[in-house]
Amino acid sequence: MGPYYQVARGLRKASAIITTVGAGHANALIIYTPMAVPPATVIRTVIVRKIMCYSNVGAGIMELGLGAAFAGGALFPIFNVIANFDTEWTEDELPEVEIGQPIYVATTPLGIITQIEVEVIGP
Amino acid sequence: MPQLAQLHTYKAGPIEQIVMPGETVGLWVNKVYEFYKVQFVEGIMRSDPVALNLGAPAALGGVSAITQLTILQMPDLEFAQLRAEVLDDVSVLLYQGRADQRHKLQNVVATFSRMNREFDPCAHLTEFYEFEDNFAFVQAINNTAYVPAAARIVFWGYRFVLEALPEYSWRHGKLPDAWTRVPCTAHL
Repeated sequence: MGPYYQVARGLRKASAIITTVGAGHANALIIYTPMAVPPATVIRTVIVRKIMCYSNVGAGIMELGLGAAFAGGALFPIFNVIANFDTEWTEDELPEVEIGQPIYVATTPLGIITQIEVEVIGP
Repeated sequence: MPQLAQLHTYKAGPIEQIVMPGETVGLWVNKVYEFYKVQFVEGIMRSDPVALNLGAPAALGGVSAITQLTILQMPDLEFAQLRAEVLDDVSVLLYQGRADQRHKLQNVVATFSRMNREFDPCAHLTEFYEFEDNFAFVQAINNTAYVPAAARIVFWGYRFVLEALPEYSWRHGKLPDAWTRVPCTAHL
């Protein structure tokens, strides 16, 4: 199998490094702010291109979803996080889900560290 | 057979000087063309002294002040050919004359942004020209939901040293045989 080539469609931006502190989805954290805001008249969206996760609090799971308490639903199936290991998912593995809302992260147990990179689509 | 240089304004590809030394330019200033002969040309590198930080506009549509580009002021009898790149996720408006927007349509004005590199890697659509102290101005708009650390814009291009050609006059219809039109201010 040859190398995977991703054609760039927009600019790349990284989220902050988030350590989950809230209990479950009810206290999920904002990991990426929306960019579709007035006075811009055309919505800007993002596609998650990379995810990095690290846990020194034991093995666990991580979810990315939309809206506080994931009211907008999950972005991907649940990710498995290996203890004491830099777990990564890159763009050739991730479904090309395009989102125009804030992305939230939730983990079990709490204390798992996550960062994502997105590609911005729009003007 | 040698080829003539194909030089013109807003040329696609890496920036090239729009005229050679010895050639005649007509600079669009104050709604007329003024005529000069180019005596000397040199490059202006994309570098820290020709970069500007417009600060950190507030989230959700915050704007910076309309900021005079004093860093791009040219001496008497000189003009500059410049391209620009926005380094942070803001939209930037260009003015030539504090109230005279560039890149405008009937109802809206196009902005510079980080997206420019995606569709215009050589930045030729951003090219503009500035004569003496006919200042350019820029203003940043933040269309994101957070405050950026900075709103930087950087410039590069050429400097042209000129000699006046008072024998020619746009107003009196006395025009050079061959000359390059250079829009140094906005067309209102």
